Amino acid sequence: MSRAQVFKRVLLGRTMASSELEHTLLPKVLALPVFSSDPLSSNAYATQEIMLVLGLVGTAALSNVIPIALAVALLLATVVVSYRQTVRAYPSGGGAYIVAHENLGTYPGLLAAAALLIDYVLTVSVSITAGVDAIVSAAPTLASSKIAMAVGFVLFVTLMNLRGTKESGTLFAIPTYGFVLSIYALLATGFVRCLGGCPLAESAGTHFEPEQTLTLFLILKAFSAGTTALTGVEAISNGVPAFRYPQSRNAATTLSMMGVMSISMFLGISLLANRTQVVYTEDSARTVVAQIAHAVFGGGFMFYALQTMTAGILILAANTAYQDFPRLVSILAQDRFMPRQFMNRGDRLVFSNGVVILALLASLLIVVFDANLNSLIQLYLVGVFISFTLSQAGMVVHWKRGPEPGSRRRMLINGFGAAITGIVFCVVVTTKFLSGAWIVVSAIPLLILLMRSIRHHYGDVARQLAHPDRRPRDRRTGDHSMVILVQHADAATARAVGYVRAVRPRQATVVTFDKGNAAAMRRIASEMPLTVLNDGQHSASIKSYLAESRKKMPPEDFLSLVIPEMLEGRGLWEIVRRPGIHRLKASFLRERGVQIVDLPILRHDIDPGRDETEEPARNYVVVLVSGVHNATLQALEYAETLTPTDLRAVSFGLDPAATEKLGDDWLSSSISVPLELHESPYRDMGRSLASYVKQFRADGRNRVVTIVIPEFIVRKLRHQFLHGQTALLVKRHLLFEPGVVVASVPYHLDPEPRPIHQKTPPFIFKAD
Amino acid sequence: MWLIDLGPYERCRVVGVVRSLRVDPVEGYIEVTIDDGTGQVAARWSIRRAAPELAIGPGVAVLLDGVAAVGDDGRLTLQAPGFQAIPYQVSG
Repeated sequence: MSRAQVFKRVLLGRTMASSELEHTLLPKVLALPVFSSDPLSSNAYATQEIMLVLGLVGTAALSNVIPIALAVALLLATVVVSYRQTVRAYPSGGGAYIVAHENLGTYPGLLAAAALLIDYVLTVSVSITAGVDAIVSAAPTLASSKIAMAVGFVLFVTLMNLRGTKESGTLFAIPTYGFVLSIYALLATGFVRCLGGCPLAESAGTHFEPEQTLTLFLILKAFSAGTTALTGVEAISNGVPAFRYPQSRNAATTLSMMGVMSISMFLGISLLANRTQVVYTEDSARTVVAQIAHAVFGGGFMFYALQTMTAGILILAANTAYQDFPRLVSILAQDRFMPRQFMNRGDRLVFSNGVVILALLASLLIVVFDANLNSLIQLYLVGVFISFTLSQAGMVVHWKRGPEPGSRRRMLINGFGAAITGIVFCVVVTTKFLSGAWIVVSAIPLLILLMRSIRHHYGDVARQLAHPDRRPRDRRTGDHSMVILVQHADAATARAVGYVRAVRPRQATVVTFDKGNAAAMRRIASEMPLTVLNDGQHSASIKSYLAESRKKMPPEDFLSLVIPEMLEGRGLWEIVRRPGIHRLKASFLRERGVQIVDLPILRHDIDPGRDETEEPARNYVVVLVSGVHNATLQALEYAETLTPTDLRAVSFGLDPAATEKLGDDWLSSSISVPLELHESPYRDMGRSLASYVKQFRADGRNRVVTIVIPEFIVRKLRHQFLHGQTALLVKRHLLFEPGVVVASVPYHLDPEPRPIHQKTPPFIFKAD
Repeated sequence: MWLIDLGPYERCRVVGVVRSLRVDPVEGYIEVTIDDGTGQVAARWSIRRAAPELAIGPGVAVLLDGVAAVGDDGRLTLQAPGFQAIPYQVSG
């Protein structure tokens, strides 16, 4: 293991096999804190947000907290009942995106997805900021370092999540249940003490002049502020596959448990706030819950315990988003609306790429908004209600389509839910638009456009790869010309000469920049014409040399640039230390009609008493394939010209459905190369390939293995990010395997389809 | 039975997980290698027009029923055994 890998293992734990996934499923007791910490924790600030709005009308208006809280509780109950239907109908996870996409169509699906993505990011920023507020309530001296604390907590939650679902479940259970219990303790103590006259909060009796009069708009605004209590309800419906079996029933039960807890806590806090006569304004040093607790417990141990638990649950509420954001992005990536890198689980079976992106975006928001809860919360909720409405509406269509016993009743429940959340959405947007919601309202269409263009690009690539101009029957196989790029006339170069001789290309030439190499090269490779390029722009002069050679060759021939590489030692450092050669290689990859053959050799492995220019007797050629398309066909054709001892195509880590498709396509495409499909238990193709290669027992002298990697080259650089950097990762693992040669065969994707060659003789594969 | 106990020309019914699958269009066969934790065995079918064997790719649990022969490479190989995929789900 390299040093970087050791660091990663210590931080994140050992790599887990795909078959261990089952063991990360959650029992209800753990699923409740993992998926409900968000809606439960919003009780820490929901009442306070209502009071903040009502406070504008003066102290007297604060009595309206109770009816508004009742309305919010009713809404919460409606949504919970409604989502119980979704959980049962979509046992494989029925997030708003899936439900809307399946039942309402692509664009409603994308709208729901965009809304949810934005809201997950906000969940992290808002919860963590509120958690930091709770800490500051208990320890006011920390107020100056709020931003740093918030970002630190984001980092902490990110790390926990990169370790994996179940472990975070156990850890996160403590603050969640701790918070629920201490709130219930607060409510019980508070109401008991109220029997003999309520204790008053420190801010009770504060009087201030009303800035506005009580209008319907203000009441609605207070109501929409209170609906923060609903955020995260959908988390359970997204997370059904993470539950133990029977998944749907367990998820529905957990949803109800969460609803009962959340509603009782919310109503309790609102009532107690009213009784203890808390007054809350923007300038208040302590949160509403902190003030109540201080009044009820008198600032003793329980006060600090509650504040700790509140901070704990709020910081972990962000965890809900960490469960769902990566999962949603991965589903979107499967549907080609997001880059495919988000599709795969990382070393610890977590969708790591999604986790990292979420952490970055949430930290950015915290920094931009100065960790100010009241401004962040203005952006919140728009997305929540869009997704609620679309999801419920989708469910109505779902029940309409599949009439089964009880579906009429279910349709009514979901229809009612959709109507209510739709109305609340309008209220939220109108009341919050000017104070920040406009940012979200304008970001959503942009996100939809982005996802659409990603999908468009993938569609375009798929069409080009399937374009018939490379089908075996339409083409004639070409020959091969090879150019060895000599930097130093050393053992690596000698070995490259031996390799090229074994391939027996139509033509082999040598280029170098250093006249000093000429004599040595004439000695070891006298049959290969040598050209000394004028020094200066290395890559430019090689490019023009290659372009000249290309012109003299028949168009179906391959032209390879062979790059011998002397590695001083193992480890990633070797790659980092010599960026020059990698840049050089990368720049040739974008040249049309040029393949790159990389011949690395460790200085350690060189036997000084041996003539390295001897041809290896066996050249096993392995072509990496992901599907039957033009890039693969071109790579196979290329592999045929390498005079292989054994030629096979290999694919790693496909799921059974993809295996079947690839096998069928292979058999029906008249390719005459055997195909092997292997597992990749740790989802790391590079590692699987490196251990696969060992069976050839290559030593670089008598036996070499050539790995042929088809690569897509897209025209626009920004599109390159949409394609997995599989080739790069694979090369990194193979660099240090003895006797492994890596050939990159770039397939250039054009913006416009190319004409089909028609008058070419039929293609015949050499069958041996 | 367990694969470790399997000898040549024995009839066997064995459950295992497919580790790899090979499609050879030239020789005209499909071969899978299964592993039951005690050992491995290959199973080979000749390619027909439709190849239902492709449904048992790497990672799939499968029940094989056939006679073990010694293959070209010296390994024990079940020639055209009956097969059945066993549904087990790794969700997520």
